[in-house]
Amino acid sequence: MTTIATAPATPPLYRTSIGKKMLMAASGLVILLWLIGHMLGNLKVWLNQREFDSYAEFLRRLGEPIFPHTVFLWLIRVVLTVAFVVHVYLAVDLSRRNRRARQTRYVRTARVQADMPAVTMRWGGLALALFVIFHLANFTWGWIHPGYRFVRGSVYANVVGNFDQWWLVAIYVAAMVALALHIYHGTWSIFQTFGANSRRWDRLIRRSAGALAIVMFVGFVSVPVGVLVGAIQ
Amino acid sequence: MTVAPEVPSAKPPTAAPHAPPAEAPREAPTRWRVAPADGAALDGHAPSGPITELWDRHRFDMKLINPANRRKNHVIVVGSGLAGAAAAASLGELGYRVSCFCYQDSPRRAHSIAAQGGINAAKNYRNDGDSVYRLFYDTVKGGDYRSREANVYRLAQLSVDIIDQCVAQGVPFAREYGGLLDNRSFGGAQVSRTFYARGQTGQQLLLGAYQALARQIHVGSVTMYSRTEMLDLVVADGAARGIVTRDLVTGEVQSRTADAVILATGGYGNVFHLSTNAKGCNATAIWRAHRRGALLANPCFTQIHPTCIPVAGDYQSKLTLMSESLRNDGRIWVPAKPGDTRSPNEIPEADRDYYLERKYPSFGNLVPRDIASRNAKEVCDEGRGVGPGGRGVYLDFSDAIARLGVEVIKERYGNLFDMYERITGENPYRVPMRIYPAIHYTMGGLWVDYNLMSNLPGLFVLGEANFSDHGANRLGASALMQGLADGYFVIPYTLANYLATAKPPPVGLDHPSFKASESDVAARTGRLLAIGGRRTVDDFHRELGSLVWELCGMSRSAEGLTKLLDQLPSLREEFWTDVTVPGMGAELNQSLEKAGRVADFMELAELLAIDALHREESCGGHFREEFQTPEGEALRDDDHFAYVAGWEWSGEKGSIEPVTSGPLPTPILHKEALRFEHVKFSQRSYK
Amino acid sequence: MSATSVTGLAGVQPAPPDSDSGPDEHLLDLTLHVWRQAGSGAEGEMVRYAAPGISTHMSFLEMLDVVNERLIKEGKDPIAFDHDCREGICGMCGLVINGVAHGPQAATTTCQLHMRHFTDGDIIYVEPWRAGPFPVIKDLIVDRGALDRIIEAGGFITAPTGSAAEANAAPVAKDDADLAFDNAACIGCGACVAACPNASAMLFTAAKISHLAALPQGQPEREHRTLAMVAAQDSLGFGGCTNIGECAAVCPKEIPMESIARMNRELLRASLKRGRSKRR
Repeated sequence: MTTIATAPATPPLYRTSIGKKMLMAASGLVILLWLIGHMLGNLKVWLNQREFDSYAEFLRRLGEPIFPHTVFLWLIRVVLTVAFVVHVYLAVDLSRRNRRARQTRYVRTARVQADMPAVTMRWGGLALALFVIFHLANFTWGWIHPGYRFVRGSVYANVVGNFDQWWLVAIYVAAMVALALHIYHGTWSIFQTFGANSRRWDRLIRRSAGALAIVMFVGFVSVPVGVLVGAIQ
Repeated sequence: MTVAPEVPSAKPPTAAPHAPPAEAPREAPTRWRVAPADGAALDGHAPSGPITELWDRHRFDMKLINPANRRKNHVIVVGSGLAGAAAAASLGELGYRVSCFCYQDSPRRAHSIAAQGGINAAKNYRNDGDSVYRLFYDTVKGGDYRSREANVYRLAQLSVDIIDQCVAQGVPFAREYGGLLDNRSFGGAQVSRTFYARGQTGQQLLLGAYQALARQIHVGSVTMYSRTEMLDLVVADGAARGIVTRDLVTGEVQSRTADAVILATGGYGNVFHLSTNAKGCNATAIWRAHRRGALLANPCFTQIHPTCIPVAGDYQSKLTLMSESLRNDGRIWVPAKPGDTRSPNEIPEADRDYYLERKYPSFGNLVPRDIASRNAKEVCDEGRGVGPGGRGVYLDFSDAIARLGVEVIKERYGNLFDMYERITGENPYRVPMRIYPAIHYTMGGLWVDYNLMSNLPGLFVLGEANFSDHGANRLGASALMQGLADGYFVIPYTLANYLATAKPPPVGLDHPSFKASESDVAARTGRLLAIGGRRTVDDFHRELGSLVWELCGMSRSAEGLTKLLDQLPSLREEFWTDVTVPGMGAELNQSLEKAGRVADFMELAELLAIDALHREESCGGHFREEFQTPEGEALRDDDHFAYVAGWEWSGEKGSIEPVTSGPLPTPILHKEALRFEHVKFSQRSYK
Repeated sequence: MSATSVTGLAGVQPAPPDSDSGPDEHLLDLTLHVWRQAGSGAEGEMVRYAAPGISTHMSFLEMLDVVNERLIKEGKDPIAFDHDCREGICGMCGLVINGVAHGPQAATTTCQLHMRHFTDGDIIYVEPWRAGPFPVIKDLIVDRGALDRIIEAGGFITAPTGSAAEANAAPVAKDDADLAFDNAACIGCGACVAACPNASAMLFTAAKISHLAALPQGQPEREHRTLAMVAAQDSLGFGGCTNIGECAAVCPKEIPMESIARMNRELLRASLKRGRSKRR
């Protein structure tokens, strides 16, 4: 009598912890690509008020005439929101699974090699999520505008008004530190999670991820700091 | 094979070449009895005919079991090493209901995993003249003519299938750039027939067998019981019908019935306390089977490995083997004068004694294991040993490093040097290594016939636990071969034949034999826990080990063995009155586990010594100081000792009550005559 | 965690130094904090033990042997810990020493760690592997059966005894054979799970998937094996990978993170292939 190992039903990819990680990586990649565009667009503030405000208006006209006014921008916003929701939902889902797996903690813990970006993904990510809401309330919805008058559409003036205040700059710089750490580990993780990493390429991927994180940090931070020191008026 | 002609063991050895003066004091056989010649013959049941066809013919002659009927048979396999895992997996695949037991937390951890060197097979991939017949010939000769020719021939035949099987399982053997399997020459063999997976061949072969076993566990044909130790064999109505086990986590003692019991529980090297065996390796399964009537064969055939890291202190818990290949480039020496405490690099050439090169100019540092070992002991006995306790010799690579460069040495032995440094804290690139022999393998074990069945019907014994294929000395890279041959390719056939022709009627747990075994086990456990003495189990194990190692280790003499036999009963008596075993039976209790094992070692040690005393010759791993050539070589006595010594427990077989005072009941010697029709007797020389 | 209780061993004299011992042997007076737990259901606690007179030549487990012998002589319950081969290959031993699985020396199992890596007066915390799927059985012993379940789910090549082809019929490129071996070197000790903050068994699972996927013999079951083993590791309650790399850092056999990337790739491949075969 031969015994045949029957193929039991295995869950579809998106139900496995690795599949969920891949979805996290994919949604993270969408957000990252958008962030790169966001950062490059922000740099226009260094040119002059007209260039920057017309860039903001351009975003609303994007996709015309195939799409009506602002529709493409809204499409981007929808995709981004979905990516964001997926990213956060899976982060919570996977974190809960991970916590269940290690309920009893060690009396003594010591890290052997894990770097700070790797171990701060969870809390750093939470901080970033809160920052995104703050950021939207600050510049998109205009709910928070301490010490200056928020004018919808006057993007340049809003930015300059906002970052004339050191404590707002401090919040943004701190958030960008968290973002840079998140991007560093996240970018490397995208390669690792999709299996595109190997011992041979690991160093290059890590360095590229680090370079990207630094570029993103400098690009984003240049605006509030530029305003604060008076380089942008 | 037929029964041995009676040889009165009191008779002095007849004049072999270079025989010592016959004046050597001879023990009158008061410590053992020879089975009467007209009694039941000890017969290996090897079929007769041309040796090349024996196994094929036998396979045809054996009865088969219909696939649909196999699941009606329940088979117990104890041990999950190469032999046990291979047997359990193969029998599960065939459709038998199998229960497999191991004391570790997973079957993957059995001590086969620690084998480093490789596995022999007569593939002749090198085109260097190897063949099944040559492997057979080398193994019989290497075993110093104390193994059964028919078994060894079958082993050599099956070696070829083993490699195929393991490769199919995904065992990552070393390969050449062309993609084909690599081979090396091992242990002085003139052909390259050893397959290897870096220095972890045993691990890879075991994982192959373990994975095959895991597949059967998954489909439900094998039920695995990890952390479960066999504490008794149940013999009901003359056949092996089950075992009694203790769950090492809960302490629960349980009986289990079976239609056949397979023991694959490894060797008894830990009787010496310090050995290269794992800490948990034990002889309890085979010793309890022996107490229930199974013959134990050739226990004095123990193998010593010359290149182990020496003992560092009293706390030493085990010895670690360093691959024998180190002797290819290392030079072995000790200070020329006793008591030289200078550090090795300060001792000038003139004050060093490269004793192997001096005494064996043609083989030098590459003399066989037993010769290298005995010489190390000799120089240490002279007070010239080095390192803690003076039990060690130098293995010096400075010449090789000067000749070949550090890089070459690093490439050849890098991981061994790292391991040495991890353990000793010394850098062998700068300071000579220190090595000393240690017990490594036991050729003796339960007696089995050609079908691997013991004298108890239904009790099969595989791998190191049986005595069968290595004679008095095992060749390097042959242990893995035997374990897998037994498990994959022998037992599936011979077990079927037994079940088809001699399967005993069903038996229940209410059979008195089961009740008796269970209560015996409970009584032993209770007794150990109740002693409440002052000495720990480890303390007794250390004392036992140093006694047996000293008096029945690398070299033995009638005088030393007699001394050992006089001391063992009192040690045992002290154990049973002064050992302390904390805790309870109904819990995880590692002290209790150890105590049970050490108690069995204490009894087994006595039979080991008696066997060594009775075998008045030197052969293989058994070296009697009285029986050597003028050059100090082992002197075999083929006229009187070309037989297998199968020892019978002469005490009450219905009980496993420990022997707590006086010597063991006088063991009874059964002889299985060995005939060598293909490999003719010859004496080796390494001068 | 309950308060640390103190068991005094003050009356125990350190062993006298061995006059024959090597020149670099020192004796250490150590303080141990060891996790003691009577059984799987019981509450555990860290218990302090004085361990005077420990030779630098001892292995970590020999140090525990010595402590245990002293405990037994005092009529106390010795510390239960798993161990077997004591040469770094069986995978049975494993302790978290000062927060690091298998202790401070890289690429070294607990049994091969020697006391010369500690200094006189050291305080050493000894804890069991901690992971949901590894419940504590007693003291420092945990149940690692979940690792066996992962292998049983698919970590094998179906090659029933007797069905094998001639060994040299399928050549394997040396690089592939070496890759297979590097991953097959896993000893199943579970340090990767113990070190992972998520108690993930990814490195263990990845090692076996990598080993078998690298060989031609492993191809027919390649996709099924990956799907089944990943599903098993999930369903047994192990956590997921957050690419931190503690597993590879403590692995005594130095299985790399690269193997996890390969497993992810294999899973993606298997899932895509499954999608195709379903449509057919």
